[in-house]
Amino acid sequence: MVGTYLGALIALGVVAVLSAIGITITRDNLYAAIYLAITTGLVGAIYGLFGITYGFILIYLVFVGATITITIVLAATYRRVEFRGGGVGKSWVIPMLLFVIAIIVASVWTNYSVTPVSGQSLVGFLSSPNDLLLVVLLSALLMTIMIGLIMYYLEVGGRWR
Amino acid sequence: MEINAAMVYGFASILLMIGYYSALRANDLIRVLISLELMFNAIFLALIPLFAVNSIVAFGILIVTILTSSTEFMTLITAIMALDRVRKSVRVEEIKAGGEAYVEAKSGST
Repeated sequence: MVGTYLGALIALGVVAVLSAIGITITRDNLYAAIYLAITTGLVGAIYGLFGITYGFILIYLVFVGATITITIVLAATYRRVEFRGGGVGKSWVIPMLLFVIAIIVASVWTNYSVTPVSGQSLVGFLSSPNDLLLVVLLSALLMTIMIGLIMYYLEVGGRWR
Repeated sequence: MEINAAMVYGFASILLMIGYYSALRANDLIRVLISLELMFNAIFLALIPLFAVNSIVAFGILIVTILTSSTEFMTLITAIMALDRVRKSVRVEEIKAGGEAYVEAKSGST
């Protein structure tokens, strides 16, 4: 069971980091916003993995459903396909890597552990009709918003680029 | 049934640093806004181990963080749209402290 949770956490975290790297390297603001939506969805999925249902719902409803949706609309409106780099050089990656290593080493040495909720209670959450209805309604809301966004973009942009 | 918190903190710090780097190398304000949201994702991730200590307090902090960040982003989006209305641009170079260049341009044109 621990292996399953650990594997799921590593998979979700690695894909979240990869899509975050996609935000940095893409030259298009719209794709950066879409990568951001993927990253945020995966962070919400990690909340779901640990059994923090209310956090999962709040992140999906408020953050992914409202804030990032408006960011995608804004990025589609002010779409830029150029990225020359700002005032800092690429050598700033080194202190950032040192920071990440320091955080990991410090938290390993504290030997602090997180206990995920058991798989049985996750299954219990999804088997309850009310909770299942909540998840279905949230998914339907997200899909409706995304379809509306795509139709708005097609209306403004004329075609998909 | 336990996972070391170093894993969660590691992913959170990586996301935070990617957000910093993306914001520092950004050319327009939309990319800065996206980078800020990425940093808030890292904060949400770093909150997870707190749920193992005191879930009520952690949930309160999560609600405050989500609502604060959402309000902050709405304010920033409004500011970006207002800047575009005034300057006709959302580039980072357009931001000047106190808007002196805009005042100078307005006084010069009249």
